[in-house]
Amino acid sequence: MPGSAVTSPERRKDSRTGGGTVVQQLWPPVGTADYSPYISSFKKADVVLYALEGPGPVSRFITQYKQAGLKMPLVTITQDGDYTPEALKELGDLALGIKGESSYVWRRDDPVNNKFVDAIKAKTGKVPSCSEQNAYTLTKVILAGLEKTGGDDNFEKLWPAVTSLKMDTPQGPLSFTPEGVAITDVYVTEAEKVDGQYVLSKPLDVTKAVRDPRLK
Amino acid sequence: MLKKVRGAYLVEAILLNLLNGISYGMVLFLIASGMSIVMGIMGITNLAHGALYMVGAYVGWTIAVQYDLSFWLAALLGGLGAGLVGFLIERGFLRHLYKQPNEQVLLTFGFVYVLTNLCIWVWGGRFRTQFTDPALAGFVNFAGLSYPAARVEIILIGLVLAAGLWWLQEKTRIGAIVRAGMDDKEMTMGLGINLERVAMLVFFLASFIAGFAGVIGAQLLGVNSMMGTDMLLLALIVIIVGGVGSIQGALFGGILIGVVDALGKAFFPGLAMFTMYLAMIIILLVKPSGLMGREL
Repeated sequence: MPGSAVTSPERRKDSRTGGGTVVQQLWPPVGTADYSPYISSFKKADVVLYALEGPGPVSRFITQYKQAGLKMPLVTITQDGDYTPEALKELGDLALGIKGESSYVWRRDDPVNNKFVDAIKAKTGKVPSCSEQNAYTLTKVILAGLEKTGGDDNFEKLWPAVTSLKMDTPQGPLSFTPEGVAITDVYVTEAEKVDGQYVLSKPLDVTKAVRDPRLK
Repeated sequence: MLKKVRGAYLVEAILLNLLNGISYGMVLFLIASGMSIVMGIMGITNLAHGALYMVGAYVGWTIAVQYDLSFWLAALLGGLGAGLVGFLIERGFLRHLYKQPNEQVLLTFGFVYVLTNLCIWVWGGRFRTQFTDPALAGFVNFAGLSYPAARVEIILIGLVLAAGLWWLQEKTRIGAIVRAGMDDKEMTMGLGINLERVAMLVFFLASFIAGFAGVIGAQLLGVNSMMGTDMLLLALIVIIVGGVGSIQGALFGGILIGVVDALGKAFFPGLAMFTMYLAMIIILLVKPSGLMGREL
C-alpha cells in the first residue's frame, strides 16, 4: 500500500529490498476509506509491506485485510508512529505479530532511556510514545547547541553547533549529516501482548547509525 | 488450462469487487439519502450532514465498544443522538434560513467545525477501529466465495431502508404531503397543512438516518474526527449523480459510485483517485439533473 511491496526471498534480485523481489506495488490515494478492492488484488507473496498515512488508515487497512481472510504476514514502517499505545489497545489482537521499523520504543533497555521513561511516567502516568521522545530530544538538541554557542541563537552560529553534536538520547546515539539530517539507530519491533497489555516489543534487531540513503 | 484458471480468478475478482462496491455504496447511500431528501424537500443544503454521521458513529462506539452493549442498540442510539443534534440545529438556526442557500451553506459548514471539535473534546482525537456485532464478525460462504458477513448485512440494511424510505415517500399520506410541499409550499400550507412541523420531522428523520449510517458504516470504516468532512464530499457526489430529492436516485447513485470506485481501485489502481469523478462527469454530461433527478 503506498508500496504494498510484496517480496519473496527465493528470488533475490532487487537491491532496494536488500534481497527479495517486489512482486507488486499499489498506491491508494491518501484518504482512501475502503481498501478492500486493493486487498482483493494482492498477489501471492511471502510478505505484504504497507505504509499508510497515520493510525486511522493503518487500523482500517489491517481490519479490512483480516476481514478479507488473507494470511500473508504484514510488515510496516514507522510502527512506533502508527502503533501508539492507544492505537495498539484499539486494535487489540488484530495487530499481534505485525513487525515493523521503529525509531523509538519505550521498552528499549538503556540507562538514558530508562531515566526518560521513569520521568515521563512520574509526570504523566503514561509511558512515552515516539512523539514525546521526539519533542524531548529535539528540545535537548537545541539546548545543547545553545550551550555550545554560549546562548547565541544566530543561525550562522547555532546551525554548525547543532549539526556537529553527538548525543546519547532515549532513542540511542544521535549525530547529524552536514545537511542537518539526523543519523540514528533504527529498530525492528513487533506488536505483542504482555500481561494483558498490547505493546510494541523491545527492539528485536537494530541497524546502527542509519543515514538517509538519498544523501551522499 | 492456465487460461481457464486465470478466467476463474478474474470472475472471482470481479464478483468480489462488485460486492465490495455495493457494500461501500450502501454506506454512501445511507449518508446521502437523508441529505438528498432535506435538499430536495426543504431546499436546505445541510453541509453538517456528514458531521451528524460522525456524531452517530461516536455515540454508537460508546455504546457498543466502551459499554460493550448490543451493536443494534448502538445503531439505534447513534441515530437518535444525531437526530437530536440535527433537530436542535433545525429548530435553533436553520428554521430561520429557509430559501437563503448562501446563509445555509455558511451556517451548516460552521456546524461541521463545531461538531468536529465537540467530538474531539468528548472522545479525543484518536481513531476508533471498526466494530460490529460478534455474530457478524465471520464469513458468509456462497458460490465458492467467502465474504465478510458484516458487508452482506450492510447491503441488506441498505436495501431494506431504501424500500422503507421509498414506501414512506411514495405511498403514504405523510409522503404525499412532503412531495406536495416540495412542489408548491404556499398551496400546501393553504390547504391547512402545518408544513413547518413536517419539515421538522423530515429533518429529524434525515439526521437520524445519518447517525444510524455512522454506526452501520463504522463496521467498514471505523470512527475518526475527519470522517464528517471526508464523507460530505462523497455524499454530495452521490446526490449529484443520483439526482436531488430522490430516494431511488441516492440508492442508484450510491451503488454506482461504490462499484465504479471498487472496480477502478482493483483493476486500474493508477486511476483510482479519478474514476469516481470521471463517472460523475459523464453522468452530468448525459443527464444534467442526475440519474433519477427531476428535470431542472
